[in-house]
Amino acid sequence: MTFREKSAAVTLAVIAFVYGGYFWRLGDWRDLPTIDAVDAGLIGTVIGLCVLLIFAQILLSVLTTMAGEDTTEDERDRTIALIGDRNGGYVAAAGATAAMLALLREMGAVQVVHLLLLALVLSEVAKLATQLVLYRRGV
Amino acid sequence: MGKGRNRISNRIREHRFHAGGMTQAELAETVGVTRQTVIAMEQGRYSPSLEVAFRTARAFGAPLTEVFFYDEDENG
Repeated sequence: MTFREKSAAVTLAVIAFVYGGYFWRLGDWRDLPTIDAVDAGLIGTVIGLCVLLIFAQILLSVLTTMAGEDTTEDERDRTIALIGDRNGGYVAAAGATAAMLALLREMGAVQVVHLLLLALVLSEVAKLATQLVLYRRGV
Repeated sequence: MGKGRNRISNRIREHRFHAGGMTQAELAETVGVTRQTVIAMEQGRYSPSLEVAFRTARAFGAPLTEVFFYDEDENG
């Protein structure tokens, strides 16, 4: 497993844990809290995500270096990252379209914000999942 | 690319053996890629760029076509 592959796996796990928890706690999609309550929860989630990601990446770098493994990136890593970005972009575009349709249907601001947030999270998940599949299956 | 088996095959493992048992890590260092990329190339899970292909062949002192070849058998 390359350092980049491990990094993608760790990032995916952290995002799934943090945002999975956030959306699970949010409850019913049609009965979301007020925008003020969302702000507080969202800021806490984003800060939590940043802290966890930084901690996980530092730990991964230290462990990889201690094991004497290479942490550099080569052309295969870059190719896989590009394909992951492309697939993530498709999901983000689909989410943006869904948010536009939601606005046309006069959904509330909180719902639209969460639709966009979900699109961003899913695009990141799609990007990282694509990378992990390509590292295993080949490119 | 990404659809079924890779059609660019190689004889990297064979050339490593003939180069006095050169390790994957040594080849990776010479070529300038990670050891995992050398492993992926040997297993046919990654077709390198022309530049890396040329550097790999040069590491063995062999022409490119002796190290990498295109599978002509498949359709398309």
